[in-house]
Amino acid sequence: MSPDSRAHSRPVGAHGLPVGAHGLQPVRGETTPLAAIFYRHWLELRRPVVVLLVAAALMSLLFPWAVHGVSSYLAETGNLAREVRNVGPAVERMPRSLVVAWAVHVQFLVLVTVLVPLFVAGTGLSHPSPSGPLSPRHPSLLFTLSLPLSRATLVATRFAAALVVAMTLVILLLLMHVLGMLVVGPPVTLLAAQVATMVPSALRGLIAIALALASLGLVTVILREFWAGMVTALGTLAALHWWWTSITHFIAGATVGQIAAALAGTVAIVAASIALARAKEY
Amino acid sequence: MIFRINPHSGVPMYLQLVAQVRHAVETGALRPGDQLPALRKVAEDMVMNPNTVAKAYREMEHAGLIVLRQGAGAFVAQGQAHAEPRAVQKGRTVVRRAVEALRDLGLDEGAIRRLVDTTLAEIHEEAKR
Amino acid sequence: MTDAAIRVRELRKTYDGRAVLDRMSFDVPRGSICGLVGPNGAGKTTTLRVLMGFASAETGSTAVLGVDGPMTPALLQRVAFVPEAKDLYPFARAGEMIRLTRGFYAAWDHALEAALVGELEIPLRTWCTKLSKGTLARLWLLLALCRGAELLILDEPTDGLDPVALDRVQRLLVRQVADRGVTVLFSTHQLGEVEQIADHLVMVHRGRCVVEGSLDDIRQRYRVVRCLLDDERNDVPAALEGWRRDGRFLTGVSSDDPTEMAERLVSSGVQVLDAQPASLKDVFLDHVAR
Repeated sequence: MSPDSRAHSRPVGAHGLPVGAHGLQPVRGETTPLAAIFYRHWLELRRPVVVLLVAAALMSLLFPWAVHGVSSYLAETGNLAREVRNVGPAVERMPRSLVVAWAVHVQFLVLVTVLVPLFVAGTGLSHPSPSGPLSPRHPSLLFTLSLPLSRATLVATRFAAALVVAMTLVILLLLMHVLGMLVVGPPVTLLAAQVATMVPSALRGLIAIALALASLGLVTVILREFWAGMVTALGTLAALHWWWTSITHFIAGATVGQIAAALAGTVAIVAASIALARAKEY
Repeated sequence: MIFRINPHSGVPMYLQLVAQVRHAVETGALRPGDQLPALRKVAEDMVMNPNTVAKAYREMEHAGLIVLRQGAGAFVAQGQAHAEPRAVQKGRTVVRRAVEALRDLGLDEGAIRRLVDTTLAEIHEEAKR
Repeated sequence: MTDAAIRVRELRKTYDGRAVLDRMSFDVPRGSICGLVGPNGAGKTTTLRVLMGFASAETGSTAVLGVDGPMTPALLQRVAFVPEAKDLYPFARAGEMIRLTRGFYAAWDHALEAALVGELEIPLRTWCTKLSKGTLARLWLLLALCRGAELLILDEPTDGLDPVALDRVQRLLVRQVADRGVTVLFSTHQLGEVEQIADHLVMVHRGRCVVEGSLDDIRQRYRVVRCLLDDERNDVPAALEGWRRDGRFLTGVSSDDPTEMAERLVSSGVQVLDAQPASLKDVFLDHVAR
């Protein structure tokens, strides 16, 4: 019997008050709210995305100028042979007239591979500020942890979101480069051939970015803020100095074996990030 | 309907609420048949735990002070043996004067309460003999 | 289906060689508002972290809403948590936090959300980093209450709130319990808040639960007892060790029956003067002083 003057239709406990919320609420399913999860990642990534789009636009504007400039430079100094060697064995199969545009495109991709992870890598439990994963873990991660979301889903979807950003950027860059070359006004067949060389490079670039994203994500999980920052800074310097050529060779013409290794490595590193994120205490 | 509950006094809040309702009935502020406010409203207005209010209502029903009607609410029970409201009002003046006098003697609130309880008990004993 | 919304058993956790949780055990009854109190470092926040699955205990078990074992995403659908650090995403606005949270809960109460945005004065367009401490606390509460959760676990939910906001929040919680029978576990330093709206209490000290029970039981169980030594030179009996001494007077908090106590102490030359209801503060200070 309830002292409350309203009629009850809910289950009522011994104390006369409604027990639980079952009667009121709809049946809760076990479906994962993907839209909400990706909305969360969007909120986190929207600022870095803007920065990266601006950078991509700048790069695109520079592209025709870069191609022209490099061609002139190489013609004057006669260093074409050396440039060809730098970019790698895949170049030997290409007609000379295509080489420079494609080579500049590859170099831009390498730059993107090094820069994009700094902006969008992360696990959802550590987030990038404009300065990238160098920022400390924010106490708001307790909000994330209190959501009805497994850590595995969180890390995996966050990686996927960053990958989508990378993919958008690479496609955009590709399109802008093609448009840039149209400005120069080459014959259609030549343009088609150029595009044919740039697309595979873009795909390989995406794989390289994925590997870099995963690696930097893992670093933010393993290391405390200060050390994560150190490692990131050192890694970026290493990439710019020692690894530039290796990355260039990969994007220019990786073998099937190398590609498979990169993909497998990416998957393994993301899996490791998930495992570590699940074991960690917050 | 204003009830005054002190959560910090150490006296259980449900007992305070019961005492307040009893007092309201005695002074005539609540008459037999009057409806008490809904549990939910009392809890929210007085910022009290609803379980505590429910306990008070159950206690009052058990003591015969109120009647709980399914779906309708809580109502003051009929035939309450209560003092004339005016007597209670006059009584309040008597008590005030006595408390002030005892305070002048140097007794604190706790001591006054104890004194009243023990004196009532003594009178009760004497009446039995 | 068990009676307890939360069941904690024998939790142990050491950190840096210190026992942060030392066989912590308590129950929180369904439909109750339970206050979790204790001095700093007693293990309140750690216990809540273990309950929510943010951290794990070395031994012991927890059961939430009748489900044994650690927290799962399915259980999290029915639980709302407010942490001690009230930070929210620095890359989001208040309104976006609400929109984000809404998407995760099938049982989201849209009507309550609209009402609370007005009642709690949430500035939807403001970035979370620009919100004041009090506004953040209120926003967290909105996010917690609109989820349609059966269990609210709140770590210092009223910290930083002015008296007006505090009153609003307390009324809100009371309304939720009255309307939906939710269970609330909240930790606080303010015993006054516990006395106001809680009907159950868990007091912890040095990693374990030292007082547990319904508030009414505790109020009736514990008394402030004043005793008188017959002679100033007498030793204080072992039973009254640690009691506050003022000349011949001894004052302390006890859960023993005063009449029985008087009988026992007479032989030691101690007279029981009176026993008054103990406030929560009395009980707290007595347990913490040990």
